[in-house]
Amino acid sequence: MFGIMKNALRERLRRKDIYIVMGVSLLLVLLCMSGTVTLSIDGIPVTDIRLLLPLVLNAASVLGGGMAVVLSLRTIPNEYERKTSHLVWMRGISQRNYHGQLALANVISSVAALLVLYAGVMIFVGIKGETGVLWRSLLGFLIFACGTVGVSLFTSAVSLLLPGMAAGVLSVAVMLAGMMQPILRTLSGMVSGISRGILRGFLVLTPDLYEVQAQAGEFLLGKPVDVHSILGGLLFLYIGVVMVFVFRRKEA
Amino acid sequence: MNNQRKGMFLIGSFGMFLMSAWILTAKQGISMENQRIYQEAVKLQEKVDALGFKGFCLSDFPVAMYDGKWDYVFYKGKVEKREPALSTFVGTAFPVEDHFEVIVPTLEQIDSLMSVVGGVEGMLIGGEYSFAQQKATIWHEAFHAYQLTNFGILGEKVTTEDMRAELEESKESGAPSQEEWLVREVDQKKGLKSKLEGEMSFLKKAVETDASDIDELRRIVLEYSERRDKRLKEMPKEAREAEIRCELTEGTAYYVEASVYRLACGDEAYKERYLDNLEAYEGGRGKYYRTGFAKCLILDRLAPDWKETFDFTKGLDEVLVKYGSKDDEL
Repeated sequence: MFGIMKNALRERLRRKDIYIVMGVSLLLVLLCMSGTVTLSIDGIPVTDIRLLLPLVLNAASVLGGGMAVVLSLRTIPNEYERKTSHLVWMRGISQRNYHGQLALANVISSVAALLVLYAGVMIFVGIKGETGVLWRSLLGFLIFACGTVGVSLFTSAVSLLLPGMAAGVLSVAVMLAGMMQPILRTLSGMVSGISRGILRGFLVLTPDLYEVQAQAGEFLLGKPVDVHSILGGLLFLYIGVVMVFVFRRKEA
Repeated sequence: MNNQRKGMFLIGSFGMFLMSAWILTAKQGISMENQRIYQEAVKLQEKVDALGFKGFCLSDFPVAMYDGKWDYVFYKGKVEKREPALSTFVGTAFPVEDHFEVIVPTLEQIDSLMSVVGGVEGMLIGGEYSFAQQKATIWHEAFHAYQLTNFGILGEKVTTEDMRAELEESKESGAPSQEEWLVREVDQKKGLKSKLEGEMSFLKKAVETDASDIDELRRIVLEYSERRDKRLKEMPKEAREAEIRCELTEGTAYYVEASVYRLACGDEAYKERYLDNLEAYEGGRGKYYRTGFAKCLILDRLAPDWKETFDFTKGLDEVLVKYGSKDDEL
């Protein structure tokens, strides 16, 4: 039933560059937590896990979003370029089913890449003896992965309609605007005229991915979470699913 | 076909449910944190009364918190949402209709501004730091509203209409602002700058003098005043006036702010934030917050009841000389 998805995943596993990107990303995340990169406030080093965790999750989320774009951008276009799609149509598989399976492969590989980063953070948390955080890590990951899944689905969907470069730029722009929502909000309150209109437009059109990952951090630290932000992440994910099923490719 | 329609209906319904839940859980109005900050700031009234500024009451002035889209105005036990009076992030006392209001950004916007301006370190400075600082800032700006509402600063009373006209005029005429006068005539003149730095060291020394040694304190104050008089004579009238006015209005407001911060965070945090950098030279108006603040602290030692008759008609230096000279003991 999921043969197409399995094949796409196998192909993904064969790509060596992905492991390199994942390795470098993991290294960056671990560096942030290790003390090799020192953060300080008024000269006092910040080593408390409660201060570090939100920051590192933020970094991991941006890196995870970037990997999701890279992993999802070419999957569907490549299938069409290699004419594999014709073999699929011959078997009577609908375009919706085909795209759905390929997008699912993208989602699985993106979440797996994110999990590697997340596991690195959790191992560090475990070494620090924060068992409370570890207990909450499974559910925390589900919240944390919302944004990455959304980015992967969005990238898969736009790759159906737009040329590679345009789809990549759009996906990265949406991901970065989503991760930088607090900064954009502040800037929109500082500028005036057309700039304010443009920034406000960006804010309306992009999901608040920053808040989604921030809620994962709050949850892991045992603080109350903002359900609205998590629902926003799920809504983005839902829109991504709908886009994958609604968008169609002419070649089919 | 039927199954496909069913599937689409289910997906559509789930989407509608998700969208409704998202809309229904959206935050309405101002956050609880900001409400708590205002309430806690108001609760400090009794302690701020002990500072001695007659008739200074925070709840006399509407306090507007700007969240980037709306102003949330706290006044007389209510919070009202309105179009922003000033669409920018700034802490100030601003004329609205026929009165002056306190305008500050919301706590969330301050945190975000810090992350924009201060990078990662700024992002880390959250929680109680911003909370206490925000309370202190509200009191600082409320003190400006109090000054403008009740006094003629250096003998010149400014109404809300005057201030609006002045703001318009300064926009159109392009005349140098207070800040520009001070940068041009003090910061950029090496000789004057180093003299002012020396004066700031004198002030710090005076603040740190043993509380029981009033004679030594008077000696330092008099020497400081002589030096300052000489320096002021070297400056053009506009820059001189800008310095005296800035020190008077901002120095006293900074004194109130520091006192509120001390109440919120304790002596050690207060010392670290406000006393340790008392002689730090800052370009433009910034340094006069500190010199004015230092003079208020010295006045507290020389004449603890100095604020009873203080009406902002004279510069802080004049008041300092008045209480610093031995004749005043009689």
